[in-house]
Amino acid sequence: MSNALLAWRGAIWLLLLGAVLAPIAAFLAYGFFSVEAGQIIYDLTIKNYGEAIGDPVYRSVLGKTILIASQVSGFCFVLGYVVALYIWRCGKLLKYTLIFIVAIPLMMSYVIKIYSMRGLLGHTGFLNQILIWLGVIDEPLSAFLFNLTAVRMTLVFALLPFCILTTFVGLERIPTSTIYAARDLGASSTRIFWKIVLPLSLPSAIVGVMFTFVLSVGDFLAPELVGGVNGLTYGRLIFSQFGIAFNWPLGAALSLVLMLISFAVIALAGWLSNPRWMRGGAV
Amino acid sequence: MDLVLDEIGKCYGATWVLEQIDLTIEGGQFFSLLGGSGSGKTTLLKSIAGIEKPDKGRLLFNGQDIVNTPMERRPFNTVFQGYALFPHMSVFENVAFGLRVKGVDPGAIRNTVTEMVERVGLSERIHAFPAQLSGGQQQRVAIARVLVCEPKVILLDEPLSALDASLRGQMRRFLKELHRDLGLTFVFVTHDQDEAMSLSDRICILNQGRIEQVDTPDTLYHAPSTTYVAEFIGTNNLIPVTAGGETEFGRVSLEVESNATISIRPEAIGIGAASDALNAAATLVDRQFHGDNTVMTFRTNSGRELTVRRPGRGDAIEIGGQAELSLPRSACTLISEGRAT
Amino acid sequence: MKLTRPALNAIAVLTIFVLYAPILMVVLTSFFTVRRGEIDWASFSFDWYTKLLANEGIGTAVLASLKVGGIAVALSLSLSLLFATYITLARPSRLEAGAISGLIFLPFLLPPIITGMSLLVALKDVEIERGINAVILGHVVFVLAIGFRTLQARLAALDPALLWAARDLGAGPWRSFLQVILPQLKLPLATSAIMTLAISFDETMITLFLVGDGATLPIRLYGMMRYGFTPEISALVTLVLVFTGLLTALMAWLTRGRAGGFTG
Repeated sequence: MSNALLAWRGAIWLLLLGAVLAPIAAFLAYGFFSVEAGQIIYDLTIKNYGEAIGDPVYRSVLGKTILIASQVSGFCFVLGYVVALYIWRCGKLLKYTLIFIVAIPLMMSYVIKIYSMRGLLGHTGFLNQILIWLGVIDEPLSAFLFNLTAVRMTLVFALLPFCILTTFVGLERIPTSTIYAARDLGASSTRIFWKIVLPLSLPSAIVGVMFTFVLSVGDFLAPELVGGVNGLTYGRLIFSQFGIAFNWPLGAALSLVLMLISFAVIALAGWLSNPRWMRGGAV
Repeated sequence: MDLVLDEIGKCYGATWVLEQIDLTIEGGQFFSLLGGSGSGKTTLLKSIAGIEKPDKGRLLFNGQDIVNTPMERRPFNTVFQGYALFPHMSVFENVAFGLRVKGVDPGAIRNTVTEMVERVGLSERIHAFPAQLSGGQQQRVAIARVLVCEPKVILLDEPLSALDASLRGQMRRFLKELHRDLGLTFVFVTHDQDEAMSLSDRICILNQGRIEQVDTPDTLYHAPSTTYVAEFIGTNNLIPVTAGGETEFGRVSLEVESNATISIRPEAIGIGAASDALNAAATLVDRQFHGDNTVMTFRTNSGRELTVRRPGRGDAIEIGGQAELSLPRSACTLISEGRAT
Repeated sequence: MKLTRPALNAIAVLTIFVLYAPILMVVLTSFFTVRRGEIDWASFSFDWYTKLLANEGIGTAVLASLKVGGIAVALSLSLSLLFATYITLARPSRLEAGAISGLIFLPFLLPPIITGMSLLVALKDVEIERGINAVILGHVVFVLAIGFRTLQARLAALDPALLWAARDLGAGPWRSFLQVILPQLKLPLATSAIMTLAISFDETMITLFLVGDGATLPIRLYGMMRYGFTPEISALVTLVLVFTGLLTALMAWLTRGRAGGFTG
């Protein structure tokens, strides 16, 4: 048995190191190479990392992208919480029907969501039709699409179901008895929300927001497809290094920055979503 | 068919959860491993079953060392705590599992299993799944499942702990009858001293990975060899005694070689002074009525609390009232080992 | 508080509606003609669907997607089983278990662009061509976390005595695993297979780096979308939505009565 165990363990580590760690390490190593005349030069240099951190254009794109991701996650957090809370308070049948309805878009392709948003925001889209119907505008506008606002809206549309669902799971985990206990002790429903429901569901909501941030900060599809010429985000910047610009080493260096930001957010969320009362065990 | 544990030891990291366990379990006995949580009783059972491998010592069955035999080839079977019935198999399939593994032919399996299920009184539920059975019925399936394998020794890990009180009484009787009918060795792990006392031929009391005493229930009750056993089995009064036999209530008629402890059971203490007894003036501090008896707690003038059990409603003494207690010399047992109180 | 609650409820209901409005728009445009910003309700037809069926490129892409999805499900679940059983049954040290799950979750947690590019670079280094095999590999690495998380949660919740009982009754390690442990994993295997298939079927970002000249369905869609919002794409999108909807319904049916089934 111990030989079999050894083989088992060996296979696991071989697979994980080979298929997960090695590619990422190899990729980051490319950041130390350079490109000349369309050829990758395999001499070590820290030029790309210097450029990725120092270049004012890249820095401003990064700043703008982080801002967008923060706005999107903030919006998703608040709206996701409101919707999750509403669904959670519904009667049993309605509750599970609604959560199922919210879960369907979660399984839907991201490209399809972007495509739908183009349909909504486009020249002949719903938004224009509604505004014309309301009498706000006379002619359909093209201003809704191909800018950063369209990117923001698309990201919220795509990531909101995720926030709703994670928050809902957190709300569902609150034992009903704690709420009865609080009511029994004379707490008003406002107090119960702020003192019991919110603190107990916050860890789950934070995990949802973390995913929203990580996914929107590194996204390049939405900016590519609805962002237009002005929609340059960090993800798109990296993506272009693998297309037209053909500068893998710079792309790798920029990716490291993105990776560090993602890790920082994941770590922060991990810390925030694991308050002392959840850890249990003896002190 | 004896099962001999020879200097068995087991450690997790740097802590020894079992130290130097020497034990002989005679064939056909109902043998209990009794102890509180952390006593090592479950680890010891797992070592016998083969779930855990001891870090030292030998495990002899019929004179053969089986310490390296994998659990599937040991002639023992286990009734697990919580029963561990296979949830996706019916009662029939659960009971048939061991026979299928052995490659017994399907016709024989059908007969044996049907017979065994009938024996444990579950014929009508033979096609039910474990989740559809009550706790007591699940228990019976778990027992039937090991019995068809015809083990030489049956290991039972806290088998009654998941049942409610009334069912536990029934199951005790069922286990005892089963043991008598089969004549197999039962090794029974429990934390419930009452359960161990009423079922066992012999009991091994474990404490912090060591054996405190191995004896019949009668001896454990009347002649505990350590203060731990004296306090663990039933209620007891422990009184320090000096070399020479002097206690705070007078001299005992025992040969005491060094400072030690004497124990006396609550039912042995009388109210009212008596001859050939240690007498102590005391105040009643608590009384608890149990229907057929009353437990009264006194504080002696020397400051020691003594528990006295009297039949029926007990003596008519108010809380705070005075009484003279008598501790018959013949009822005092000397415990020379263990910590003094 | 008297007014805030109805206001918040209204926002919630509106949001749920808005989540579906764009999709509804797509479905409508696949059946109706839109002229000068207005839907012509008289123009209902299946024309775009018949045109779609005639498009050979789409058929190839659908087949490629199903092939990738099928193989990715089979491979990732087998690997998940290997990893999850090791973590729960072989009792590795805390550190090792943490490292293993960390590595499994890494590609799932990282921005997909990084996972995609890493695999692109690594495959170039070992001289594997871009194409369907590279895509399969990428999908397996990406979705591994789903199966692993689901199976590990179920295995950790199992009574360890089940395995002991099987061994105790004479079954060897393999038989105990196949006849006693594996049957307990049917539901988590089914749900993670559906989730994995759905994710693989929709995966675009990693695929984009690895696909080369071929195309899976989302890549095909991505390519078509550069030409704008057309009824033909809408018809294709509608069909994909029906497929995803069926998978979701199947998933909900399998996990009925178990809240939080979607998060494992």
